[in-house]
Amino acid sequence: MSKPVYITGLGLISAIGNNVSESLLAFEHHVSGVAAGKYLPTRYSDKFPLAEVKLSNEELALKTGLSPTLSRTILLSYIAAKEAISSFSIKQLQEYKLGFISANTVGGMDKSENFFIDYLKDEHNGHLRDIVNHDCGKPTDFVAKELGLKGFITTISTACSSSANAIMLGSRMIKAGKLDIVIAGGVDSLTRFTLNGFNSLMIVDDNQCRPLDQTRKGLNLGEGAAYVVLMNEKIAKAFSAPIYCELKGYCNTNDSHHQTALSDAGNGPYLAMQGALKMSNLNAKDIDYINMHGTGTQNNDASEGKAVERIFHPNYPKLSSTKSFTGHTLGASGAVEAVFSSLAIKNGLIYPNFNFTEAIESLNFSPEIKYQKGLPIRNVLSNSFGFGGNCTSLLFSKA
Amino acid sequence: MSVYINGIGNISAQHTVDKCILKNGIENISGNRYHCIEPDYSQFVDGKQIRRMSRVIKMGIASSTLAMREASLLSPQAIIVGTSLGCMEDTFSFLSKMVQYNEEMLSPTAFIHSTHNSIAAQIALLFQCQVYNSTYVHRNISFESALLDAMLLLEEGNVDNALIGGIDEITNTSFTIMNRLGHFKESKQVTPENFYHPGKGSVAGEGAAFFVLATTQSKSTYAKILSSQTFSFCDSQEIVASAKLMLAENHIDQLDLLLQGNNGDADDDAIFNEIADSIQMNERTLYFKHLCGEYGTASAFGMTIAAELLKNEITAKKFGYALAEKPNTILIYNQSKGIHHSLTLLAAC
Amino acid sequence: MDDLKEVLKKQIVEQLNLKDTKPEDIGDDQQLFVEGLGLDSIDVLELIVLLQQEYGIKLANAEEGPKIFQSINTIAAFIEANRK
Repeated sequence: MSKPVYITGLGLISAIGNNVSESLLAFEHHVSGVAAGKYLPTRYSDKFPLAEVKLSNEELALKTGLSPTLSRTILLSYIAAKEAISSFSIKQLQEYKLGFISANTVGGMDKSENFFIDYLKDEHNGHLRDIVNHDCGKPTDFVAKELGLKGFITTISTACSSSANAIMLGSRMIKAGKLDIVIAGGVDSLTRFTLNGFNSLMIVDDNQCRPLDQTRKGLNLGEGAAYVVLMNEKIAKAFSAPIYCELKGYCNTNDSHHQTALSDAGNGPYLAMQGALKMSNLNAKDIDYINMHGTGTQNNDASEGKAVERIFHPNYPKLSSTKSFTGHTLGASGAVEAVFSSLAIKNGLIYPNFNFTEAIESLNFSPEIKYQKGLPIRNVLSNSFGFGGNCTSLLFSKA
Repeated sequence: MSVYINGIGNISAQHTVDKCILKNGIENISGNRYHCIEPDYSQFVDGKQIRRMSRVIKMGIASSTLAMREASLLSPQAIIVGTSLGCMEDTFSFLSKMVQYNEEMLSPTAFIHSTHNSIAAQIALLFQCQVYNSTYVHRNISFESALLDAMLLLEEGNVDNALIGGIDEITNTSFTIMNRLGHFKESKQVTPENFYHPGKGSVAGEGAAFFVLATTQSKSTYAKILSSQTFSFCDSQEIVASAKLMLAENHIDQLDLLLQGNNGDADDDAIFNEIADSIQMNERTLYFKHLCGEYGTASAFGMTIAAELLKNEITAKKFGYALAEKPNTILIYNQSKGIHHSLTLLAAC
Repeated sequence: MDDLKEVLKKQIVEQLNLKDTKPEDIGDDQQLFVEGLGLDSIDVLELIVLLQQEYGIKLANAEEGPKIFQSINTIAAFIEANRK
């Protein structure tokens, strides 16, 4: 048996709050973060509702003391990473083998889009300061440097499972003894690039999204950042750190069916969930809650639902998709939902599915619709599936 | 446990596709932009599948196929790719159309393949691999991150082989922009003879180098990887100390060869030279970027050179290196602007 | 109508980058998906863009696609019926 890895810090910013406690209040008061777009400059502001972080770049800059010329991705990442380590002193953290493993899919695309408007007129045009943040490594580097997270640093980009994979790598490196403490998670900001991309796939709902619902028509795009602090038992004790839960299992598989769609049988999702269960030495009946990937697209929810059925039928655990509150935060979503899963265990929470009306005909389960707290939640599965068939399940357990 | 390199697929500015760099010697390149010498991709993917693939995806498919063929591996147990900039052509194509058509009438193909993990995903799709699949996108340590993940997987014992690769493409747009950012020397300044002449900036490169790593040696084995580590935001002394520790941990009293990523940029090369000096390897240091140019995953190309040198007696000369004898140990050191550094130690089998 | 079909075949080959297919090789009644020309769900989206770009016809729902794009004949008929 390998030594357990604990989650001892959480940081989060998304459409439902600028920190962890604000986000929990949104669930409790049943307020979704999906609304008419206000900050993303796009021709679709009136057409597609968005789950935006409710702060402009200038406000984010003011809040952080950073420059508003930085990419929104950097600003969001900084806020969530800072919250995650807020109960520790950087100096103390630096005494150990430290890792910062972040994930994103858009890098500084929000700025690159502006650069290209001028660049396409003449290749000598375009402010270079708008393109220097383009690559995905930049937000990781910037935040690591700014917060003093020196040590092992890398960035993962596997579409919508990116930050779940970052958390997985962090845990593996601790288990292998290569690192003592890892801050792992991810970020993505809303960009015209991703909105237009998903629109070209015709999977963006022009109303509030309805995950795990027969009437679902697509996803709402969101943005945000989330990080968890991972430690082994010895270090957690040394820090007297608050232990939220144990990251007990994880598995990454590939559906290898299609570049953007999951297989009807949900093979990748099935294998990922089974793998996480097997690693944890747990059975399906031990799972108390599943935080579904649940994007609200026809394909994802049908495929993921099928995989859940294959493992859990007829005894389904409570389950829901929090994307009905946060929108689909893409590369950040795995970490956003890892934060929710950790709190589900720590505080005995079940998150509601916003706007649910009708169960999916082909499936035998319905999501939870009420916020519940104080329940004995021992084990939580969190699913994250992305383009390229990339499927990851994380399994969190009571410590 | 040992990690062996059992197969290599390499598309670069050299004749590396069919390994004839061994027979024909090196391609001398001048100017500030290297292009890959590419194979006919139709021998690797059929027409129906290839029609949506951009160049970098085809490079990834072809080089991973070559690596697997050489290792006689039909299906890897893990696929891990490092790419510093991902699929530039598709990204810029979608971005340009979005701006030009004012966010209307956009077709999805370029968007679908603009995601950084689409190279690893297409490999999984082609070979029907439902196994671990990841993509690292961290600047000049993207490839080493993939390597480190693979070595960790092999160490964990759940798999006994993994396909890894370092891949980046340069497009007209990315070249133009990086040129404006001062990354490259002026074209007419660069000749094969003065590639390492100190100046400002380097030469744009690109390439795809894939490796089959395995825990068991085979007929096709090139070398074994003893250790690989990355370092970020640290000073030269830490790199030197880590390099010495790495050698000591692997019981290497005298390293045979230091293979460095010098690139002709005065600032970068000052750092490289300092490291070579500090570990007393000045006399036994070789470079590789005059063969492939500078790009985020150039160190993957460097590892193909190291593997060839460790395997083949005749290789050194053919690469233009005046080595007295075949090395048995090689340390690859790469860095960019003093921010991220990587050390990879290989040994002959 | 025949002219439209010839033009359509050229446009489809170009839009979908069907390098191994000549426009004249596509039969008017030939199935375009799965068993026929072997097109898939991404091609449906590409064809929707083609209809919008070349003929000003906007499809709101991708699910209508497969029915309309069964063959050159069905696409031509749809264009004739909806062209402004």
